[in-house]
Amino acid sequence: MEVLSLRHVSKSFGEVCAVSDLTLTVERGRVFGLLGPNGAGKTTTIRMVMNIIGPDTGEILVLGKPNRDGVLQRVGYLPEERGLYPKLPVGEVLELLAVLRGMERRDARRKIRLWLERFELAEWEKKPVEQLSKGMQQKVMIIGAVLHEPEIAILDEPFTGLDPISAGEVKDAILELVKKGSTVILSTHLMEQVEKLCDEICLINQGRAVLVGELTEVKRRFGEERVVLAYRGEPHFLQDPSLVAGYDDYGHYVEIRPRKGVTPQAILERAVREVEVRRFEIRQPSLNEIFIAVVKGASPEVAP
Amino acid sequence: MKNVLILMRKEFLQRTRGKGFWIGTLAFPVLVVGLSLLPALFMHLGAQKESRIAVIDLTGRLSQASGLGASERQDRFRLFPCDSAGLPDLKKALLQKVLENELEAVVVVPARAIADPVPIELYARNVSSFERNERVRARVSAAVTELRLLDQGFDPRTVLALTRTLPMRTFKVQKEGAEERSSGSEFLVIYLLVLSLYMTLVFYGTFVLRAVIEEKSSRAVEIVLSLVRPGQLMASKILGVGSVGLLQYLIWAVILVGFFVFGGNWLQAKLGPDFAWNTIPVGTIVAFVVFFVLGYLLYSTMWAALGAMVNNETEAQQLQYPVIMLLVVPFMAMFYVLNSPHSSLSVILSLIPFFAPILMFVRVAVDPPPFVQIAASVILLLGTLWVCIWAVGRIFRVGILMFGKRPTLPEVLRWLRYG
Repeated sequence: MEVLSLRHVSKSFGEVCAVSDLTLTVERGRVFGLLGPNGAGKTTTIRMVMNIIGPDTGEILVLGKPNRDGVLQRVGYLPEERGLYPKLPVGEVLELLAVLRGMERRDARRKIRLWLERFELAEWEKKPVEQLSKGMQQKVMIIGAVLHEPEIAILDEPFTGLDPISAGEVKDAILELVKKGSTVILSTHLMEQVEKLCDEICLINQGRAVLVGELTEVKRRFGEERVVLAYRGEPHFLQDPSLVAGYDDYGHYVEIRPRKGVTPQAILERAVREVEVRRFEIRQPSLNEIFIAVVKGASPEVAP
Repeated sequence: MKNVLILMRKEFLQRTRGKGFWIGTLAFPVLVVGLSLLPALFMHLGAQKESRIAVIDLTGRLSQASGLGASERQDRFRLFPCDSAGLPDLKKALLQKVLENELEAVVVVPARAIADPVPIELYARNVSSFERNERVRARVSAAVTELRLLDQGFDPRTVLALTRTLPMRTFKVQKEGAEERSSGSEFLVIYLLVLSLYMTLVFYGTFVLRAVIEEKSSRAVEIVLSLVRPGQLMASKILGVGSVGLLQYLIWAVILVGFFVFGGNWLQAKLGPDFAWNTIPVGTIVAFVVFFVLGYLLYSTMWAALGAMVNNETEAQQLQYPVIMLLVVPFMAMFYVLNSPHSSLSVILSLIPFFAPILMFVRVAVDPPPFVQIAASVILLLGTLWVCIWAVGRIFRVGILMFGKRPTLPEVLRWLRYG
C-alpha cells in the first residue's frame, strides 16, 4: 500500500525553481532514502509533504488522503532546522508535541519517560531544553518524531551531529519502527547509512528526481561494475578506449570503469601482460560513487 | 481547534509560571501608585522652600489691598513702595538679589496700573514657569481690582464680599435626565480606562510580538506548523498572551478593590470632600469591553505580523514605528475628542478603525454619540480585523519560515499574493 505519493509536484520561489515535476511513491514498511546535494530541493519537498508550504502544482497524498491537518498527526517529523522551545523543560516539550498529535497526556508522559531512559536522557526531563548539548537536543527531537508511533516518520538528516553511540541508538529506534510496520523516510547526505538502512531511494538534483528505485535495482541499473587493481609497472592499457571508459589511478592502485560490453576478465587478461597484478577485485559501485557521478552528470546512462 | 487550545495552554503556562510574572504583576501597581504620587511629592518638596517675590509698588497703595501682604501657599510677596525717582536704584539692587538667588522674581507695578490696564513687569531668572507667572499675575490683578473698588467708595469688607469667587457643581445631561457628576472623577475614570486600553494595546501587543519572534527563533515552529494552520498558531499566541493579560488585570482589580475597601477613607481625605465618586454607567462598561477586545485583537494581529517578518527584536524595533504611530495618534487626539466629542473631526477620527478602540470609547464615555456612529465604528473595526487577519495570516505563513534577511515591503506584498 502506498503511504506517500507525490504526483507532478512543482514549487518555485520567485525565479528559483526548487522542485520541478516530482513524482514518487513510498510503500508501507519501507525505509526510503531521499538523497541529493545541498539545495537540491529535499527540504522543500519534505516541507510540502508536511503542508508547511503549499506546492504550486501537483498533488500530494499522505496515507491515501490529501495532506491536511488530521492525517499529518499520524506522521512523525524531524525537520532540518533543529531547535525546540529553549526555555521549556524537555519533558514538557515532548508532551506538547505528543498532545498536538492527539495523544492523551498521561499516555504521553509514560512513553516520554521510557524513551528518555532509552536514550539516556532521563535525568534531563525537568531541565530546560537550552541546557542540553546539541546532540542531546537532536535526540530529544527524534523522540518527538517517533513518540506517537507514527505510521510514517520523516527524518531530515537524523544522524548528523551525533556521536557513534547515539547514532547507533537512533538507528536501532528507526529499525524498530519499521519492524512495527511504520514507514521511514530518511533525507541524508550520509551514503553509508543509506546503503545500510534503505530499501529504496530517490536521488533529487536541481529539483528533479534523477534516480528512483530499489537500492539493489538502482545499483544494478547503474550497472557498471568496477575493476580494482593493485599493481606494479606501467599500465598503458588504461589509455585504450576500446577497453576502459574511465579510471581513477593512485599509482599502485587503480579503479577502472570498463567500457560497455567489456568484461572484467578481458581487462585482467590485458593487465597481466603489462603489469604485475598484486590484487584483482570486481566491485559494485558504492552509492557514494553513484551519487557523485549522477550529480556531476558524469554518467550518460543514469536516467531510467 | 483543539490544537489552538493546547498551544494556548502552553503559551499561558510558560508565561505565568516563572517568578518574573508574579514580581512584574505585583510590582506594577506599586510602580503606578509611586509614579502618580511622585508629582504630589515634588509639589510637597517644592513647597518647603517658599519663593520670595519682591513687588516694586509705584502706585504706593498696594499695601491697602488685603491679598498681597500675607504669604499664601508657595509665594511670599514683599512690597517695596517707591517713586519713579528711586526706581532705578531699587530695581538694580533687587535684580542683583534675583541673580544671587535670594529672590525668585521682581514685579514692577506701574503707577498708572490702578487707573489703566497697563502691563506689569516680571523679572526672574526663569520666565518659563507658567504656573508661577500666572499666580503672580492673578494675585497682583486681584489686589489692583480691590484698590479700584475701594476708590469707588466701597468699604474694605464689602470689597472682600464682592470679589469672592464662586464654586461650581457639574451636572451631566442625559436622556434619563440631569445627574450631578464631579468633573474630576469623570475625567479620572475615563482617563484610567483609556490608559489601561492603551497599555494593553502597547504592552500585550509587544508581548505577542516577542512571543512570535521567540517561536520563530526557537525553530520548533516547523514541527508545530505541520500540525496546525499558521492562522491557528497566530491565534494561539494572541489568545494565550491575552489570557495572561486577563489574569493580570484580575489580580490588579483585586488589589484595587482591596485598596478602596481598606484605604477608601484615606483617599477621600486626600482628594478632599469636593471629590465625589461617580458610578460608571453600564454603557461605558459595555463599550469598554467591546473596544478592549476588538482593539486588542486588531493590534495584536498587527504585532504578530511584525514578529513574523523580522528575525530578532532589534529588527522589530526598527519596524514597529508604524504601529506605534497608529497608537500615538488616538492618544494625542484623546484630549481634543474629550473636549469636543461631536465635532466632525472627532466623528471622523473615531470612525477610523485603528483609532476607534480608543477614540470611539472616549466619545461613548463622555457623551454617547448617535447609535449609528457607534455601530459603524464597530462594523468598520470588525471588517478591518477580518482583512488584517487574512493578510497577516499569509505574512505569518511565509514570514515565519524565513530566516536570515529581513523582507522588504515589496516582498511582503508578494507574500500576500503568493502566500
